[in-house]
Amino acid sequence: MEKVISSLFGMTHWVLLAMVIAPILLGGLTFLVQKREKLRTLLIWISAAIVLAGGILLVWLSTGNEEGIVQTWQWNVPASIGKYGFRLDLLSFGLESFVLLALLYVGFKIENGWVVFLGLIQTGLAVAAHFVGEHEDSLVLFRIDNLTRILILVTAVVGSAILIFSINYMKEHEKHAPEGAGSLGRFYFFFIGFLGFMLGLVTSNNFSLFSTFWEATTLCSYALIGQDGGEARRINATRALLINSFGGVLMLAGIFLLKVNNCGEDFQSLTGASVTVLPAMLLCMAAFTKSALFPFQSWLLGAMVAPTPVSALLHAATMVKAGVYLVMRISPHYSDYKLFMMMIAFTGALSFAGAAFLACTQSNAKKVLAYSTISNLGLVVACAGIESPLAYAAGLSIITFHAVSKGLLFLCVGRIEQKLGSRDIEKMDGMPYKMPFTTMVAMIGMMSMLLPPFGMLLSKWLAIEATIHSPFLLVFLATGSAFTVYFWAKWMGHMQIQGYHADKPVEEISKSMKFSLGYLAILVIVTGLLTMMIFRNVFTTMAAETFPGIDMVAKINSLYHEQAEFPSYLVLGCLALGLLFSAIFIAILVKNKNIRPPYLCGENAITIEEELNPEKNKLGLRSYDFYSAGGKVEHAVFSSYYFQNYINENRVSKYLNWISWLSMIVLLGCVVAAITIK
Amino acid sequence: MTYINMIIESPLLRCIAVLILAPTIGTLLSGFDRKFTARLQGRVGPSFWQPVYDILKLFGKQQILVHRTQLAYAILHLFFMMLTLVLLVLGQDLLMILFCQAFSALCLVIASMSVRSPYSWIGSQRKILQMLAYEPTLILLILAVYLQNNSFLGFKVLERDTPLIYSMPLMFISLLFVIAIEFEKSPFDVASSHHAHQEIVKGTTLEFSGPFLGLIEVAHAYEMAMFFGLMVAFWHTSIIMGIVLALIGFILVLIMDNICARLTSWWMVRFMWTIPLTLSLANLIWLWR
Repeated sequence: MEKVISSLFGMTHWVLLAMVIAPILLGGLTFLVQKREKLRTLLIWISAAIVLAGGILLVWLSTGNEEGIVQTWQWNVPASIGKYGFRLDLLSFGLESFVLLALLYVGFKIENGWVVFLGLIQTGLAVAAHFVGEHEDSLVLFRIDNLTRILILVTAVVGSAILIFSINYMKEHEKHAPEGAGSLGRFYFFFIGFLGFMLGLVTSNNFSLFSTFWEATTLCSYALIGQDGGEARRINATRALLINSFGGVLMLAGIFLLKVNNCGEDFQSLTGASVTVLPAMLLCMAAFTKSALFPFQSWLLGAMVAPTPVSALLHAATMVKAGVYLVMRISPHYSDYKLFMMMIAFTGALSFAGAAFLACTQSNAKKVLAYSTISNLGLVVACAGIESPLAYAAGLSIITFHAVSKGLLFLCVGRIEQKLGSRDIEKMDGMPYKMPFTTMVAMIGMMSMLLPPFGMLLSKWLAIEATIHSPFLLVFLATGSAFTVYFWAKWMGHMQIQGYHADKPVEEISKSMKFSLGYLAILVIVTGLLTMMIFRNVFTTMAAETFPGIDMVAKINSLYHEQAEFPSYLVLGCLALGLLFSAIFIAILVKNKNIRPPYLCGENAITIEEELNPEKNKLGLRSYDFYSAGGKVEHAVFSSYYFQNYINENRVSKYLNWISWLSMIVLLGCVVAAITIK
Repeated sequence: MTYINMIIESPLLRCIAVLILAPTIGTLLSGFDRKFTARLQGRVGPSFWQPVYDILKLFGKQQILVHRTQLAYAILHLFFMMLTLVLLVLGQDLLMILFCQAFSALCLVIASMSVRSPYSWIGSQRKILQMLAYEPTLILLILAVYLQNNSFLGFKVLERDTPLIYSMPLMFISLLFVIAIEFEKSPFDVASSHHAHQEIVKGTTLEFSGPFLGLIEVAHAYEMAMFFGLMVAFWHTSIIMGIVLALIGFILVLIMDNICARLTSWWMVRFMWTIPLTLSLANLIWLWR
C-alpha cells in the first residue's frame, strides 16, 4: 500500500492537491474567525501568499526539465486501488454528485423551479454518464500543459492581488452594507474557495472532476453576487445561476454523449473524430454561457451588483476565463471541420463588435468594463475559431494581458466608487487632484488597452492580422476595434479632467490597497515592456506546439515572424522620451504666472488670483463657472456623447441576442451536417 | 547624388532626413492649400511660406497654459506622430503604424478633454467620433495591401512591380475622405477648423496657445506629410506620377472643402460608415484570392 502511495504522489501532486484544497480550507477558517478582525486579515494575507506562491510553484514544478521541450505533466492513477478494488472514479463521481446536490439544495431553498429543473437534468445526465460506457483502466485525473500553466498563473497572480485589495474594501463595505447583507465570513469563504475551485478547474483532466469544479464555480459566483442581499441582487444572482446551470446541462450532455460512444472520459477523448464533434460543440456552447458571450451576456452584466472585488474576480481571474479556456482547449482538434470552426469564430467576433458597440453607449463605469470584458472574451473565442497558430497565440496573450489590466481597472473603479459614492463616469471629475494615485494607476490600466507595445493592443493587432484569411470576420474585427478606441478614449478624457493646483496632492489610501493596485500596475508595465519577448518566446512556441505538423504553420510562417520582429523598443523609447520631455517642460514652464483659466467667452466668474490661491476664493467659485445673463453665476456643464437618443441598449441587445441564437442554431446545423456527410 | 544614396541606404539617416523634411513638406502643403483656396474664392492669398512664418511666430509667444497634464499630452501627441512617420520610413508593420497614429490622436483628445472648457470638450468629443469614423476604412486599406503583398510590412509595397492604384482605385477614393477628415476639411471639419469663427471656436486646440499650439501645429504638419506620403505610395513605381497622383488627390480634397458646408459629426459617422467603408469592402472583394 505504501508503495502505491509513494508511486502515486510526487512533490507536484502534493502541491496541486494543496492548491485546490488549501483555499477552501482557508476560506472555511476565515469564516470561523470572521469576528476577530486581526486574525481574519492575517488569514487573508496568508491565503493570498499561498495562492500566489503555490501557483508559481505548481507551474515551475510541472514544467519538465528536459531541454528545449516544455513537458506536459500528468497525474495517472489506476482506476482501482487497494485490495478491494476501490474505484477512484467513484470518488470523483461522489464529488460531482455532492456539488450537484448542493445546486439542487439552492434551487429548493430559493424556490426556483427552473434551477431545480436544470439541476435535476444535470444530476440525471451525470449519473447516466457515470454508468454508461466502459471505464478505462487508468485515469488521468489532472493534467498540466501550457494552456493550463497560463491560466494557473493568471488565477494565482491576479487572484491574490484582488484578495489583498478586498481586505480594506470589504471592511469599508461592511460599514455601509445594506440590510440583510451576508457576513464577511460568508463572503471570504466563497471568495477564497473560488480561487481553489478555479485552480482545480483548469488543472483537472477527468470530466467528472472538471464538471465538479465547473459547477462549484457557478455556485460560488451565485453566492458572491447575492452577497449584499436585497431584491435586485437576488434576481441577478438567480439569473447567473440559471444561465450557468443551463451551460452545465449542455456540458454534461456533451460528456454523456462522449461516454455513450465509448470515446473516453477525459479531455484526450476529444480527438477530432466525427463522433466527438457534437459533444465538442455542446462543450463550446457551455463555454459561451460561462464566458457570457452573446446571447448569454446578461448574467455578467447583472453581476456588477456584487461588491467590486467579486466583479474583479469574475472578470479577470476566474469564472469567465474558464469558458475561454475550454474553447481554447477544444478548438485546435477540430480544425478539419471548417464550418464548425467558422461559426465559433463568428459567435466570438459578433460578441467582440457588439459588446464594444454597447460599451460606447454606457456611462456606468462597471458596465463599460463588463461590456469590454465580453468584447475581449469574444475576441479570444474568435481567435480560437480562426484555426491558425498566430490567432491561437493572440488568444493566449489576450487571456493573459486582459486579466491583469481588467483586474487593475475593476479594483480602481471599486476604489473610486467607495470614495465618490458613484460609479458613473460622468461624475469622475477632477480625479487627478482628488485621488492622484488611483487615477495614475487607472490610466496605466486603460492605456495598456490601447497603447501599442502593451499586451492588449498587441493581441488585437495579431488577431486582426490573423483573420486575414477569414473575410467574413474582418468587418466585425475592424469595426469592433474602432468602437473599442471610442469608449476608452471617452473615459480616459474624463479621468484627466482637472483644474490647476499649485500644490501636489496626496491621496489617503490604505497600505493593502496601495500594495495591490501598485502590484498590478507594475505587472501591467513590466508585461508591457516585455510583451514582444513574452510573445516571441512563450506564446508562439505554445501555439506551434498546439498545431504540430500542420502545413498551415509553414503557410503563415512568414507572417508569424514579421510580427515577432516588431521593434517595440522604438515605441517604448518614444514613450519614455515623451514623458521625459514633458517632465522637463513642466518643471521649467509651469509657473503660477503662466497659468490662465479656461476660455469661457471672457465671462469667467473666477479671477486668476482666486484660481491660484484657494484662500482668496471666498465664494467657492470653480474654474468652469461663468456669468450668464444678468450676472448670474452658472456652471459650464459638459458630458460625453452616449447616443442614448439614437441607440437603445435593450433593443440593440435584443437584435444581437437574436443573431447569436441564430448562430447557435447554425452551429448545431453545421455539426449535424458534418456528422451526416462524413 | 552619393549623399542622397547614402541617406537612402542607412535607416538612421533616412529617419533623420524625414523627421526634418516632413514638417517642411507639411507646412508647404498648407501653404499651397491657403493659396489655392484663396484663388478659388477670388482672393490673392498669403505667400506659400505663410504657415512656416505662423508656426515660427507661435514659438516666440508668451507661454500660457491651463495646467500641467495638457502639456504632457501635447508632447506625447507630437512624439507619437513622429514615431508613426519613423515606423513608416523603416517600412514596419502597417497596422501597428495605424495604431501609433491612433494613439497620437488619442493624446490630443485627452489633452483637450482635460481642461475645463466646454468648447475644447465638445471639440474632443467630435474628434473621437472622427476617429471612430475613419478607423475601419484605414484598417481595410491595410488589409487590402496585405492581400496583394502577403505581408503587412510597409517596405514590401515598394518591392511591387505595379502601382497600387491599379488594383485599389476605390480604396484611394475612400482614403481621400479619410484625408479630408485628418486635414480638418469641410464637410468633416467638426472637431476643429482653420476658421476660428465657428460655434465651438477652435475646438480641440482652443486651450493651447503660443509654443504649445506650435507643438500641435508641427504634429499636424507631420500628419499632413504622412498622409501625402501615403497617397504618393499608391504610385510608387514612378515618383513623379506618385506626386502627381497625390497632388490631384489633395486638390480634390481642397475643392470639396470649398464647395461643401460643415455638417454634423453624426452625419460624418453615418457617411463614413456607409460610402467609403462599402467602397473599401467592394475593393477588397476583387482582391480576394
